[in-house]
Amino acid sequence: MTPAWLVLAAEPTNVVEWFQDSSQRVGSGAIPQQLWITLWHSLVATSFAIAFAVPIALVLAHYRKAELLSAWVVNIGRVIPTVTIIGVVVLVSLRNGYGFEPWPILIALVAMALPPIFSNTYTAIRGVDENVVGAARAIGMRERSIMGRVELPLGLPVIVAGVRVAAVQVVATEVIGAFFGGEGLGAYIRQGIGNNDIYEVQGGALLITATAMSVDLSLWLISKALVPRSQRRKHLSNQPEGTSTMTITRSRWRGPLLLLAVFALLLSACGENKSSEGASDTPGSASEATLRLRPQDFAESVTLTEVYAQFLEAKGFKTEVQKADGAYREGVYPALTANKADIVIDYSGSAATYLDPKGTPSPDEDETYTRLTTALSAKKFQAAEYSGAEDKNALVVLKSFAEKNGLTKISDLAKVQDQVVFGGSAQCIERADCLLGYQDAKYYGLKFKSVKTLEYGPPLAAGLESGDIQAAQYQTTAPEIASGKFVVLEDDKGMLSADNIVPIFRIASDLDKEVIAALNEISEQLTTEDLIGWNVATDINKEEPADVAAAWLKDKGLN
Amino acid sequence: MKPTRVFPTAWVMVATAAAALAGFAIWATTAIADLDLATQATNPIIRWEYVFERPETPEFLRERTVEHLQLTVVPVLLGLLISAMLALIARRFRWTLTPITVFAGFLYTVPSFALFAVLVTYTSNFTAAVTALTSYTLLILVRNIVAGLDAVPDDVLDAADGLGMAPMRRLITVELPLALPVIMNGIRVATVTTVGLVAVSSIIQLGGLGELIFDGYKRQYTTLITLGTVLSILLAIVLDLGIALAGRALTPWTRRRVAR
Repeated sequence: MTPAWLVLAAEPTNVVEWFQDSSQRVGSGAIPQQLWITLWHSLVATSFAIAFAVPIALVLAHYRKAELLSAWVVNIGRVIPTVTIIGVVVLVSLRNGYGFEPWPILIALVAMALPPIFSNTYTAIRGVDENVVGAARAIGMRERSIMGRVELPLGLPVIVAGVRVAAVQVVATEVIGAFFGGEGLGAYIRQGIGNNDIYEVQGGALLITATAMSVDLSLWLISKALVPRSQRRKHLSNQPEGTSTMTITRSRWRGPLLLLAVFALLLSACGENKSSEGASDTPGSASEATLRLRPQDFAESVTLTEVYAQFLEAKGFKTEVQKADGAYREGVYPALTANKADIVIDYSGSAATYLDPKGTPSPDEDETYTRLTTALSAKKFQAAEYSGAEDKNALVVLKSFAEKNGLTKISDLAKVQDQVVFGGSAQCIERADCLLGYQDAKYYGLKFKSVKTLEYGPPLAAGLESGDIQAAQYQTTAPEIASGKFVVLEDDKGMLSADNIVPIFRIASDLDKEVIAALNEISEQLTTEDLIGWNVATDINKEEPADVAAAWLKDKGLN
Repeated sequence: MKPTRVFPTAWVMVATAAAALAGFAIWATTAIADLDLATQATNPIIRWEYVFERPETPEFLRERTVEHLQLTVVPVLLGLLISAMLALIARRFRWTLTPITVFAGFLYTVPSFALFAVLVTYTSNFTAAVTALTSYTLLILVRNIVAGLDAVPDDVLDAADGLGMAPMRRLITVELPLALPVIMNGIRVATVTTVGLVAVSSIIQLGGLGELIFDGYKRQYTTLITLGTVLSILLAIVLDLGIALAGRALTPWTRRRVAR
């Protein structure tokens, strides 16, 4: 069974269809555009690393300085994980107001590329025959000319090999940037994973692999043209890792296309696509066993889930709060269907739109709840009572931006739409009640300057503050709204639903009446102010959702 | 460049740690320097109370580290097994060496990010990660095993043959021990590289220390990123030193030769 999706485009049935149908990439961007981003990031970063590392290594090696450093550099590069570099640089950049792009990713990529280029250059220059250097000196060449006209050309094969290794690493790292507020080919993997679309993941992976291969291949061709025939043998050296010369070289590329074919065959021979439902981890009735609650991957949802779970625990039921693992509804509901989770604490309107994309949204709480229960029963789910606490989706802008442009309603955005970059989560930009709705002529028909994907939660808020985005699909309970930094634009065309907190579970799991009563008891206690308070604690003060939930329950005398 | 001295591991790693610490200290001080006291109190670079006072933290960090360790050790052992077989094939049929290294080099060029993501659509998350990570160790390990075995002097082989050793016995009792230092170096490099790549596997929800980094970004919470970074670097250093020490213990004769 394929997961339910909200993409308006028809679902592809294999990766070839994904490639052929450009409407699949409405949310994630056209291939040439993303390819261009990846390529220019990689090119700039690699060039900068070459310009920085080669001269320094050349001079140091020529004068036989910093021998130990040159040996350490590669290991230092290996020990620090690439993900770390991006994560750190992005956060530092945001903290200092430089935004998400392009500086953080470029800096991280340069840091990636420096070690192999530096150490290969150093080794190459050290490896130049001393007699040759001596001869150059004897015929009266100055040190500078020796470096530039003797050592550099002679060391070129090894240097170019280092550049090749670095460039491939840079491409491989650039795509990870898509998970840290960047764009590029990695966006397809982000969108595919976020929206449960395995063909988009496969397509993206193929594109990334092909790009890395092409970069490798073209640099090999360049190196062939660049390196004099007499020097080429060095390029082939099969130096083992970790020996004293510390060079990184690659064996020569032979018949890459043939191997690509072999690899593709191997992959397809690996068997059928994994069924997205799979066998359930722990089958059987959930009513006696542990109740598994699955949150969505943002702080408020985790705190909410913890509150319900801890309260049930206090009532004597065994509960488990599962890991959110980057998933939103697109990951949570399939888990519920497959009996991998028992209870989901969701928001009525958004859940209804997810389960029944064609339904009409309504700002009325009861109408929305009715719409939800109808949609749920079609999927063999059921809802407990809804809570008075509400966290609606909202289009928010910086207060200063709203004041400057006189914005109060979403339709006001039309007059400044060509300067507004829209920010939303990977899911939002493919959802009918989010970006697609704002762009839909039926509602607002907005044409944003561009769209940027950021993780729901603090990254979106950081994007607004840094000016990377001007409008964000965020939540009415965001702490920045309470503190007056952001304002909510009024939904004057009625596109967004009421969104009350509501627990949802399988009909078949036949929950104990006391469990449902306990869920309802918490729902009754919750208020919208509580949600805002939790978000201040988790998003601003960075407290742990579980701790915040425990503190709230204690405060209310509920545990 | 003549002496093939084994790399001065301990010093490299100590220096790395020192450099990382110094860099972190500089970054930490500059980053919080111009923040007002209230902001610093709520969200500095690292919140020590999260590390030392929150009762759940040690368990949480231990779990992530164990996951990371598991995803490092399993692929390296598996890779070692496969590489050993490939290396023996390459030794027996010399012409296969180029295709094997080219193929391993090809696997090495596939970005880990793409490989994780695509494999996970075919198989379970853990299998996908182990498959991908194993494929990255092959190039390094095959190359080092072959180079190590090739470096055994012909005289020694002749002597072994003269003693009437069967090929298998010669391989295990003579060639393998002599090749061990180079092979151990390969294992070290493969392990350290894998530790770094495991962090990427967080995109397919396998936890590990990478989860701290992704979560830290999602929550804009520097403490998690700092912890993830420091722990994964420490893990790499500890594993590297451990393997280096094991290598030394296994090959006592190499030190004796140096001493002389």
